[in-house]
Amino acid sequence: MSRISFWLQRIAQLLIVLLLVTFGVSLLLRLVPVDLATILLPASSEGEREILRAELGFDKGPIGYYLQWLGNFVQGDFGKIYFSGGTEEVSDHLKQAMPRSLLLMVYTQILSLVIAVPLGVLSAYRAGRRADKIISNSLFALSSVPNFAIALLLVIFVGVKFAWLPTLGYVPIAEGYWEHLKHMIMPVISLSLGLIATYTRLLRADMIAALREDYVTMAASKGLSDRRILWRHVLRPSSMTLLTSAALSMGALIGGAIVIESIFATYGIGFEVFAAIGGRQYIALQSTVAVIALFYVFFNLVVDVGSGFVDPRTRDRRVNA
Amino acid sequence: MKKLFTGGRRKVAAVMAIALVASLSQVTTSSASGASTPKRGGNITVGIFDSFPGFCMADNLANSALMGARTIYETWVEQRSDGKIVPYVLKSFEHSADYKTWNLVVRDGIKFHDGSPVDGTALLLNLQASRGALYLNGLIGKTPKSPSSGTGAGFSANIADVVQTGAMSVTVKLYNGEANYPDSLYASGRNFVRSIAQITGPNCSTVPIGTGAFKYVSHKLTELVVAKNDNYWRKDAKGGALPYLDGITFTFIPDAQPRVSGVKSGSLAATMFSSASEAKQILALQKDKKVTTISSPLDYYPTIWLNHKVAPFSSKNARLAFSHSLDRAKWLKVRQKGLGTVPDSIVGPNNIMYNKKGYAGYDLKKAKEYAAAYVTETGKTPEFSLPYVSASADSTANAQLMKEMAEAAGFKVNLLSQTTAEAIQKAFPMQYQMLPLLLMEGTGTAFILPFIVSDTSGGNPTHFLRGAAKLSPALAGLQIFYSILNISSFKDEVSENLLFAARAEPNVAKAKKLYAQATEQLQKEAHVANISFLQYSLTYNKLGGVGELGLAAGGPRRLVTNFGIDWTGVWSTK
Repeated sequence: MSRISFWLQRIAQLLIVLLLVTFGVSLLLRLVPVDLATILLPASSEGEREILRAELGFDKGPIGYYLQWLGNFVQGDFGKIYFSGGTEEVSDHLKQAMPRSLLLMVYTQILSLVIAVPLGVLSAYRAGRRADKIISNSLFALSSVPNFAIALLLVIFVGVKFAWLPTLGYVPIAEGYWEHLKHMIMPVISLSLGLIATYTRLLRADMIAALREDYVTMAASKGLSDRRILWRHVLRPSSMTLLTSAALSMGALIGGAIVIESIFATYGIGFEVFAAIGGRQYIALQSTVAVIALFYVFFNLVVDVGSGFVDPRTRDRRVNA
Repeated sequence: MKKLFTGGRRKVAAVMAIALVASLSQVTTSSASGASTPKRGGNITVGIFDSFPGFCMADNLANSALMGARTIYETWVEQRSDGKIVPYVLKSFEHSADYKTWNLVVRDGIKFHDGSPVDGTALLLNLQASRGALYLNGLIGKTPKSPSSGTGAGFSANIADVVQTGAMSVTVKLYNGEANYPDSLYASGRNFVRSIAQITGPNCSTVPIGTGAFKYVSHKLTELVVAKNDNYWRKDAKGGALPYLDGITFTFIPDAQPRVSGVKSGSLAATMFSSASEAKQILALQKDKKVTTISSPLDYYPTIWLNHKVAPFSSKNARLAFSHSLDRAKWLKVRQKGLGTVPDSIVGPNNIMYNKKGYAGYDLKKAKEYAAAYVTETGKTPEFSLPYVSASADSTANAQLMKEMAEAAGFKVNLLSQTTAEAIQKAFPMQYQMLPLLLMEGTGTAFILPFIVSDTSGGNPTHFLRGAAKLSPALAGLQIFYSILNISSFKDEVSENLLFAARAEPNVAKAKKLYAQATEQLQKEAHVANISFLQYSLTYNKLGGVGELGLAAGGPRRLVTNFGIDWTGVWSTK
């Protein structure tokens, strides 16, 4: 299989996943035993609801409704949020929420990887020794603490008791990078600690396996330093699981950081999902879930691309399959 | 609803464009840090638990969001800390001997934020808009028109006519005498002075134009940003300009925990709480010496509205069985962490209607007897659906506890998951068997009476909504405004006559006696039930001047209410 057709096939698979996910959500919403127009416009007249039904395709069958929604979605019309005083565009909400979630995710990944990679390498290198045991046990303990508990501890001590950092809100980079960072530090730490534990343990396991490979013995017998062997020859092929895990957790962080977003009132995509569910804003929910699914799919694609660079053997295997 | 009582309250206070009340400002204050010299400038952020759906009459902002709106808007009259209603944007109000005619005069020199004058025309149009006359104009192709009246039409149905009598004056004619009409005009702080451009324009919901100390900058559902009004009409005690702050951002933070940590860390300058579901946080903050917590009296009376039109609560036996099944002491302990008191009347002790007589308090034995009597009467087990908001843990816990209590008496209870929006839509008019909802509040009856009478116009045959039916049969439906607020859908001539007589009685002692008799009648018939009283708290950090600025007519205003505090004279001490 040529490289181009492999990627075309991969992209087609991901598009099918996207279509299935969004159609599934759409179908679920249509199965809700309520009149969606009444839910969205509880205080309006029946005539106004009729107009809304036609506008949103509620008067069509599930497939007709889905196609109408999809057509709007791909053109950037994500629908509206309805309330007594009017409407707000879902896209405006996402425009505001997306940078928050993306930055939170990026900072979390950077912090997690910057700490987890050296720890994982050290732990694998010193496997079974005191350093490894300390790291492994500490991380085991750390991974058992839910991120919201860490967040609350940070709020109590760092935010309230010592008043070192603000406990809530989000400040865009444009309003000052230091202010921005100050608001992101505690949420990022809260989300990172669990990931650090996971990443370190994944990397450790893969590196221990790699260290047993013949090429490592060969490199050592050629007189290469341990550092060079670890960082140049072992880390790269041992990073596949870590990379996959990191990419998947990126998708999860986009929509799944709702508890942390609530504690620190940063209000990213997770909060939008929560608000849409709580307010039964079905169109907003459908579009937001679709955006989250897009990110999942995108990061899956990134893993595919990235894994080829990290370990060319996987790229060749795919193409030759 | 949301949080069983609170959320409903939030949105349904929501459905009130007009309300009446007042509650003596017997506040409790914890801790305190006072800076006595005002400091100008600064922008602060205030955490609230309600969102901003809009600013037109029908949008009916709830509690803490109302606090934000009240920085932009003022009211024609205000309530002093002793409960008395005094002129505010009005210069004066006077009444006829029979309390059926009220002459209102607007204060000179006040301008809206858009530069237009506050005069008799503005007062006339505000009153006409709130009673639904401009809404009707829209329906029949006349001008001026406004998009909606909200439920103000129901609240102000006792108004027979409104006439402009001068450049700065208006006369309000009432059908029944109302000795405390200014209380109705205050509408529990909700009857805003809106500009004509806003009321009659296409942006009524989205661009608020008032006379307040702060001007609208921007808003979205979760945030309101206001900035100092440089031309504000009031001055401080030394003649200095008001307000002191440059701007305020009111931000919607639904969870209590971030609000608590926010105000303690200084990320928020202030934040509000409700004892309905945040008693634990209020109690903790009251003990915290780093912040100051001020609380309203327990002047908010959540009601369990029992629908008289359908079984089982069409039966007095079922209503009494239910009311007797409610273990208020347990509720206070479990759901409100002991913050408050056990109700012994459908309204609190500060209210003029307060009366313990006839109240169907907790008595499981009696509850079972009445439930058995219901079975004998109908041959059926008493059964009802209890609406609650499943998205809220508090609402779910409230519903489960209430279900347990009712089932102990012999009821079969089905929990019915709803959103707050659904609840509002189905409550007006009532489509549930019962609904816990906070509507009644205060020390007076202006925000109580409309919910417990069958016709808020007092039977006025010439009221304009009845006339609307003659204009077009399609408009006959507007008459629903007369009864829509009584969501229990009962008509009790005994209590109704007492209530209207009390409202017309200028002698407070005599009025109080009549009101108490009405309460007794309502309680004997168990027309409504209740399980708790609520209060609101505001916690602040590094602020000065809270509660220090008096009213324009003199005297202190109520320090804290369900809509928080007045921000005009507040400054940041940071």
